[in-house]
Amino acid sequence: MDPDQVLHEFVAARRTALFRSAYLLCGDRDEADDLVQTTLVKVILGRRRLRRIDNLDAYARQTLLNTFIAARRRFWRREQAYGELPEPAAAHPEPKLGVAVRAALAGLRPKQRAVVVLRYWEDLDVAATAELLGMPESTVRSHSARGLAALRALVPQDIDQLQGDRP
Amino acid sequence: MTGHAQIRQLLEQALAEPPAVADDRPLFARAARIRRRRRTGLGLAAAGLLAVGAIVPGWGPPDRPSAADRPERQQAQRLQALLPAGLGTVERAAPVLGPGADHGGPLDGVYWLRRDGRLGVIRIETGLASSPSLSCTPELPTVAARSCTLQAALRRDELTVDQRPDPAGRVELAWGRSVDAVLLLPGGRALFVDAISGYLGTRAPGPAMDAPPLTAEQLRDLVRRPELVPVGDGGV
Repeated sequence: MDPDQVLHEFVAARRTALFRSAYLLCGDRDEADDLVQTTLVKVILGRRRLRRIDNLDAYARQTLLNTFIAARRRFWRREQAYGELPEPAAAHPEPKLGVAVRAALAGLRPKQRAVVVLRYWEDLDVAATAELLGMPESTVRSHSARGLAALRALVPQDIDQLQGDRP
Repeated sequence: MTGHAQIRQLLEQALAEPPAVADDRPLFARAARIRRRRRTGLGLAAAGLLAVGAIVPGWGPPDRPSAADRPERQQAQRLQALLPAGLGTVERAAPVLGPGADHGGPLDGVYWLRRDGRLGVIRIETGLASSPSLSCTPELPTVAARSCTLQAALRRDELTVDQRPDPAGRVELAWGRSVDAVLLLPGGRALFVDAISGYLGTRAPGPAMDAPPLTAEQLRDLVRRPELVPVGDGGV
């Protein structure tokens, strides 16, 4: 199939899924949209290499994560962990649980957040997550445990029974 | 239900609706722009080859339009010729995308003026008189998709293009001071020309000028030029 056509079909089919992962990583709609756009532009720019890339989806996921972590490294001063739950916007009331989960994710370090998203949203196993993030499996397990602890602390009524990866 | 599934369910609660995207073309256009910019890095090597071509017979350049022949460059040159001398270099940053885009004037677009490291903006748009200029910023692709809303009720100097919640309370992108002109055309249409000192905020593409690039008098002269008006409306 023509690489251009492959790209167009991929962008149309996967943009929403990438946005969801990006949103869980960023916690901000506009920032997530920017992240997805930047990711897709990078994927499009790399199209010459696409013939050698078997799994376009994995390539895009990797690019998304690298872009997110690199941006967070660059602008780490802008990272803010919320000590209390943000007020939901009056015009668009959100379920309290959603706000709490986002606040819990925002309190994690970028790589911890990435582990939680990959393990529990993208449904990758520990080995695949470790390979994607370039870290040992033991680190994935500990990040995962910290992520769950943060969720547990903020929304105890919903996840006090949860068992994550055992470090 | 397993713990894994419960966590996933919890994460699902935190999701937001993705933005409605009907068209992926801007994404591919942005990639094409970046690719073009990267290729200019190869320009020096190409210039070397052309220099060799000038000496060695048969090494001529390919037969293709030069950068100066491109429509956007020609538009910028035509606008520059209409502006007072010394305002800075003019480049067309984007075509204006508004309701009047189909029947726009010959110089409709967003132009950037660069002078002494500062960036000013001139926006020219032909459209319905009842639809004042949009707050779209097609020249800034990362914010264009979500900021195209009518802001008729706001004064231009208060118009915020894109102001997302910022933890530090900073404005992310807003217009600087401006002088705006509206020239009514036949058929309920109008020519809008805004001379803006630039963009303010953390996402501004460059430092704004201290004042709008044109005075009210200079803007009045510019708006009256027939070169800005569609031929059917009295333009040339």
